[in-house]
Amino acid sequence: MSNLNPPSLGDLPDPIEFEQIAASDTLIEQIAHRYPPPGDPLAADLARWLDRLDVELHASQLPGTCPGDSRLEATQSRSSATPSRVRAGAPARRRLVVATVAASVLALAGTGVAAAAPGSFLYPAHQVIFGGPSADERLLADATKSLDQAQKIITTARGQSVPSAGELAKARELLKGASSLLAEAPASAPRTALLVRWQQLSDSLAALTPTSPGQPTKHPQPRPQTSTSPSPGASSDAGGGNHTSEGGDQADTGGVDGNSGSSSSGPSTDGTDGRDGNNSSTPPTSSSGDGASTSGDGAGN
Amino acid sequence: MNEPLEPEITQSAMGGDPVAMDAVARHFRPAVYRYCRAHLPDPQAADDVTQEVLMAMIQALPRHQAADHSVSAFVFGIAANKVAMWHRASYRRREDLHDDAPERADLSPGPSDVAQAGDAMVRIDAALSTLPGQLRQILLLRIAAGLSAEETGQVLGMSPGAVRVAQHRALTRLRQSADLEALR
Repeated sequence: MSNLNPPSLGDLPDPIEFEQIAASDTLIEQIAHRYPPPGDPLAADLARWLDRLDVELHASQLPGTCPGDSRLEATQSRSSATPSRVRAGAPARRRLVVATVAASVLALAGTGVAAAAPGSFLYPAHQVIFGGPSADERLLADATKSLDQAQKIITTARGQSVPSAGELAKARELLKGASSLLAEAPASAPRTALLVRWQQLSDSLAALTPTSPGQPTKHPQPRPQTSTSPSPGASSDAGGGNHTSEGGDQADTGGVDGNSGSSSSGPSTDGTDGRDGNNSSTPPTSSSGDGASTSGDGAGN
Repeated sequence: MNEPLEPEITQSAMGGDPVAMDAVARHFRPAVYRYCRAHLPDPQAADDVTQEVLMAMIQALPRHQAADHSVSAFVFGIAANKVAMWHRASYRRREDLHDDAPERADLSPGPSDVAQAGDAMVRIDAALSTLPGQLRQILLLRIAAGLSAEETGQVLGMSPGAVRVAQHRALTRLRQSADLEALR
């Protein structure tokens, strides 16, 4: 029988409040929809309060900082990516993005600085961190400079109907100097590139060399296979013109060495005393016959 | 709340459609933020908790049974839990720093806030802070979150009628609060 006790009516509102309850419900609906009835200060304050919340809401809605702003994150939540991997706070993700970008930049910059070569944008930083250029790097830099100057002269001479002999001699000297420098430098990729360039410039210079009856200096192309038997022109040039100039002296020496061809390797890559046999057209490669084949070119001056 | 969410979108989101989930998150974000902001002391905290609520919603929505509760009630049930978790975490943080920290976050306006007594936000915050927890929760769900009485009842485990009675009492108390009375 105890279960048949009447329910307590203490929590029920007085009947007179029903209309007020309905009015409050209507008022709340109006406030929530931002249509507060005029003349009610509480409703007006609540509406303004909601407006202020909306202002803060818009201020907080930065693009891509909430799940609702990004379809990607919704996609991630559906895909195989575990939900726990999706970030839970906008500031944390922003910090993570900044840190990742900074780390990437530092890593790339560090790699670039370490690998920077002379002439590179990052080479000054490389010098600061890893010290100045080594002796080998200076050799290559000097050789590059000589080749640049020689190329400039050759380019200028190409535009002239009759190239200046003096300018060509200067270019030949520059090539000779570069040859010496490259002969001292150890084998490396930059050195190989410079050797190729040296050969190209030598060929260009040979093509520009004027051929005259008094100076039958048809430039013999450097051919390794001719190293053992110098051409007649080359040998005659070596005998005739080598004593007329300083360059000729060297060329003469080169011619002598060149005659021996394979026995004198010239500016070889192993850094032996190949400069003795160097002349302006002796390619500073390990090819032993180049010096002989081009010896007459220097003598032709 | 804004325009009601189309049932098709809700169904697609519950089926795991990412585009529909995105739409649902966009739909609920303003209301969830308002609700969280009304409960929390600063916009940053409200923003963070809003993110957590939406993430939890995206994760749990495919498991939601629409027959039991509306999606709104489902979302704001999560929001209520997240806000409570924030307060508990805040309490622990304060406990680490001060032995005499209050048991709840002090949501009442500070001196500078009182100086700006003309601001409706400060006045309403002050008035809401005087309400008992249940009445305050009901008003925030009804006004800030924009839920109906039925949805509010689903969140709080009350009947719609009980919600209407409680919200009436909450409004009556607000009108009687000293701050608002002084401004009349």
